[in-house]
Amino acid sequence: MLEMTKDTAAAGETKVSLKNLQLSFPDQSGGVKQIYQGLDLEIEKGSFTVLLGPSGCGKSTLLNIMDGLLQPNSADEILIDGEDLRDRPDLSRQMAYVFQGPRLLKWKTLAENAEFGLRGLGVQPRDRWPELMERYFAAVGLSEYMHHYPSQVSGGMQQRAAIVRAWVNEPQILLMDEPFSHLDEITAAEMRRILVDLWRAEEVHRTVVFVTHDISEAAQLATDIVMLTPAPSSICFRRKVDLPWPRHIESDEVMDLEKELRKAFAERAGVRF
Amino acid sequence: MNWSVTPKSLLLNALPVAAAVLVWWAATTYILVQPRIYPTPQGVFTELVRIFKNEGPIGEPYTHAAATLWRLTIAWGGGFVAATLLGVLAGRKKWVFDFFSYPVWIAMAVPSVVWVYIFLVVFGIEEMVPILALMILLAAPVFLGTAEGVRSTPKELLEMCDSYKIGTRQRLFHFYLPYIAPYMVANARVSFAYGIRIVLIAEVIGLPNGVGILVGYWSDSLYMAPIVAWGLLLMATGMIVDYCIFAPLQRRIRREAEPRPASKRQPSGNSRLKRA
Repeated sequence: MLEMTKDTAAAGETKVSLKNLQLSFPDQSGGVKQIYQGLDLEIEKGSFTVLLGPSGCGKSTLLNIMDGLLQPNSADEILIDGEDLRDRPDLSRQMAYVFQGPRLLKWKTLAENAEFGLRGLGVQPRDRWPELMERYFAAVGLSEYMHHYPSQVSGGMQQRAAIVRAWVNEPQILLMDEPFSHLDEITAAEMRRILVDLWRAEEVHRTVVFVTHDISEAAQLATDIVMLTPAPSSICFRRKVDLPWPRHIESDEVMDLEKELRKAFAERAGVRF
Repeated sequence: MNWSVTPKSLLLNALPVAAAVLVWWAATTYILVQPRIYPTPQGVFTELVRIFKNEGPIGEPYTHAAATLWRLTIAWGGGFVAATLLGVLAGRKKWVFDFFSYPVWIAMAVPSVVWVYIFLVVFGIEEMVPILALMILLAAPVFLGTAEGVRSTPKELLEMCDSYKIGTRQRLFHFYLPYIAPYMVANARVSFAYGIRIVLIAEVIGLPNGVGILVGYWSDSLYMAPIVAWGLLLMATGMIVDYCIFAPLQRRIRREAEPRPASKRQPSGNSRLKRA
């Protein structure tokens, strides 16, 4: 098990680097659907990178490749901290995944679900687990519910528990695949606030790779926005975001950014909203 | 749907039994008046009292009952554990499922009495006969049920396990077994009841002791009351095991799966964190 250390590098250092990624799947008509044809992507250490793109462009697939869950047809490099994931599969233990749905085990309490992840990733030392869980359940406002079963809490609470299951491992890289897309807008807004608070609360920020197709969500969260075209995907637009937090959805800066993203989507990805 | 045990549900359970006893009494008292072949409820009750007093023609009934229960427990337990583990493996690996699919089909299709004769020829009159026959016959449906349960595991949860690098042991005990628990309990209920029948067949055919020997003895004597009494006792044993072990397990599993308000249930579970 790798020791879970916090990011210490200065901004600008590369955390994840994918080079010349090639991936295709057989499609339903018996042909081949090309997802990536030589995609290159670098993600900066400590950034909150949002991958923005239309459905089916391979955003989630990128997360699966980074986590080692899926092997591309070929790639020149899949580097995590300069080491290739294919040579060092244990590097993926530095990552934790938050999925589109909570994916909690219904026979375990929320705390036991978090413990399930801790045990799987082998986070050491084990005597820190109670403290870690107390801290992160409190951070998302679920202290009182940590010993309840998923069926006893709302969908929003379940998703918060899923965030805790990931965050409690103190991963160097947090992979988030449209984690709020199935929630109502009020709950999703609250969840975004909690997520940003968690991310900002730590002295040295973790690297977050967040997938969404929601331009407004990207504008509210990102420090770095990567826009993908429909498959076969390529990066058609990339922009650093230096807006202060909290970012209000109706603030001029956020709305201007949204406009800019919409325009880029229309002009460069051929997608209109 | 409310599946809890209520006085009304108990009454509904008891009603057909009471009706059957009444019909039985009327038929054997007024129509089939041949107590040796068609025993009355009172005659069966008298035999039950004799069994409880440990009185029998060929040894103590308690010793015979213990031999039957021992065989049943060992064979059922062994068959269940082995079939569950193999079933989990078969649910995950197609080649394991393919490898076992014909043997399982054969085990289920060939009648139990044929298996008992085959094992008697191979092993002679040994304890091994009913235990092996029972293990094979019980393992087959348990294997299939477990494998199907594992195969129905949602892809999303498996992906979550992969992402969190859940190891083999943790995956088996904390993921697969709890996930297939409803299948396992259903398998256990059916196979235990099935097992009582098979172990008796094996004892009737070729073993030196057990309830089956007593049933065979009374059958040869054309005296049915003790046979019915033993039948009732075995049925009661099955029901007690089902009522005290399997039914509460199934209720608990069902409860965990159903949404319920937090206030109605106190936190439970065995998290280390909670104890810390």
